[in-house]
Amino acid sequence: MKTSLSQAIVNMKFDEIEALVQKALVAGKSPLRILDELRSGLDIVGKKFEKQEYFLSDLYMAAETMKRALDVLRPHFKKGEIKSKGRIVIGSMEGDIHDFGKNIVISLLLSHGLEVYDLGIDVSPAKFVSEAIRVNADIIGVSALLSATQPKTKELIDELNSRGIRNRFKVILGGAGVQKEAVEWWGVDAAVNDGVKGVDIIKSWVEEKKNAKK
Amino acid sequence: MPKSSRERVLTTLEHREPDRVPLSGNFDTYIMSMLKKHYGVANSRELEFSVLGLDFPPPAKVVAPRNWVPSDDYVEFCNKIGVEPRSAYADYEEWGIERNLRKILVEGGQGTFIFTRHPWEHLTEVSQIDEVELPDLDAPGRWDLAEKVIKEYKEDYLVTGLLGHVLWTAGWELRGMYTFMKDLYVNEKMAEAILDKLLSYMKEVCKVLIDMGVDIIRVNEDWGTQTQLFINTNLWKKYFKPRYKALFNIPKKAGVFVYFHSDGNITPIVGDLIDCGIDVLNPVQPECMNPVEIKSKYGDKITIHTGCSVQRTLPYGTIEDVRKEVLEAIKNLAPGGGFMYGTSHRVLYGTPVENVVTLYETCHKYGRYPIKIP
Repeated sequence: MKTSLSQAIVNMKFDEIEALVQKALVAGKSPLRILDELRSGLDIVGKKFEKQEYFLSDLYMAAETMKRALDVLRPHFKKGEIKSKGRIVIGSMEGDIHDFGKNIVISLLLSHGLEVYDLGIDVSPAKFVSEAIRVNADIIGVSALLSATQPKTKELIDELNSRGIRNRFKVILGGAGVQKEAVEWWGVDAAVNDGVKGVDIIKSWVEEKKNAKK
Repeated sequence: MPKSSRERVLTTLEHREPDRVPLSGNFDTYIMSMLKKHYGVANSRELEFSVLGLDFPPPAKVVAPRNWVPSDDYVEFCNKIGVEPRSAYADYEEWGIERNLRKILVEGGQGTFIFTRHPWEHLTEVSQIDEVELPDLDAPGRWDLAEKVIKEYKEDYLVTGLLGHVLWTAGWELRGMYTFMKDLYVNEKMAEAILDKLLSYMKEVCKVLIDMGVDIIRVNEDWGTQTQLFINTNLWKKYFKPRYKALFNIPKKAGVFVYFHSDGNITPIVGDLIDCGIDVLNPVQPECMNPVEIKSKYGDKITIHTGCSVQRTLPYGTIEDVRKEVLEAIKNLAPGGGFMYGTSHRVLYGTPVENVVTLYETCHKYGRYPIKIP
């Protein structure tokens, strides 16, 4: 049976994806079209995850499969052919070492064409802000799993406010234990306990920004 | 007439009503010191058993041998957080699971450290797994703690034999989560080899603890994220269910209870865990599972050991919020027995101590059978 590139992502064909992408290139399919097909597969994976048909391990394997496909595809793009959709700095909050969810979110964001600056784990509020300024980010993504580390997000927001640059960045807090009230408690723009939802929100923000520029 | 704690817990495990709801508690070092200060007591044992009325003594478990020489970093780490090196995290040391011990994250937060090396991560052949030498269970002193705990507590309390991380959590700690997860999909032989290696070791530990006289065998496997299982349930059923069944068969045959701890939402596998032989489920995490639904569906088969939310109510709620949550739990879950209560996990630094105090005061006031909630 013929496996489409989109299906190959949905079915996590990790061992076969390189050959499938090569085959599509040899057949004359444009790299951009291949990328679109792969992304559509990843969108289906995201939807299946939201419906709880797919699990975190499936999401991870689909993201790994996508990563493999992109490694094959990347050298075939012309310079400037892929434009960044938006820029995000992302990291686990100071005191927090959990990064599994954050790393999956990064894979999904990269696959959807965002420019991602991964600050790693145990990142201080001040570093989030200084790095966001340095790379001229659109979005700051904070990952915090522990109830003891989430309140530090307020320090990050206070730092942005005290520098008078709060409006320059959208701030999203994510983590398995994050409560929806966190928007009110810490002053972030969005708070999610599900990575796929977080990616959707970030995609909608960059879309909004793109439309506002038009 | 007041019952002994042992009788109390046994009664509830047999799905009958004891004198009151059995209680547990898990506090980080900071919260522990705040509670001691609040109640004006000097030592943890007095706080836990005399003041809070907890029903669970420290568990019997494998410790490092008597002649074991820990690294300076590790000893310094243990001193800093006030734990005993041979029993605290010695298993990580002996298995070669390295963490950055110089940086303790979150004040009072023992256990929150950065993994820096998963010793089986770079193994590529099944034969390499087969050749790994596991800690020697016959080493002198290996069972010192288990012996002490059983001797000290068995008369008055049910004693738990702790296996700890057995298959999933131990598997990813040794192999690295990304690699282990990938094994489950594309490197089946490696996944099987790792799990079989761990299973045979855990079976041995289990047998010794049972022979020594523990009443409960407890495993801590964190299977759930906030919304679902870490891995696809089909993979869970293929790799893990048969091995849990084989492991739990040992205590079941010996008339010893099986206690299963997993954080997160594991609702889809509760029925399977019961098939495997569990008697107690903990913590039925209140933020993401519905203990009332679990009780109504499986309450005749398992004891629910849940607790007040350490993610939501205890750190962020008011005293009234805590009282309300505790009363709801007692009202809905306590009747008929098969119920134990406490904190849903470790209470962390920053949690208002008065909320923790309210939790236990409410339990003592309203957790007496027959249950009467205003």
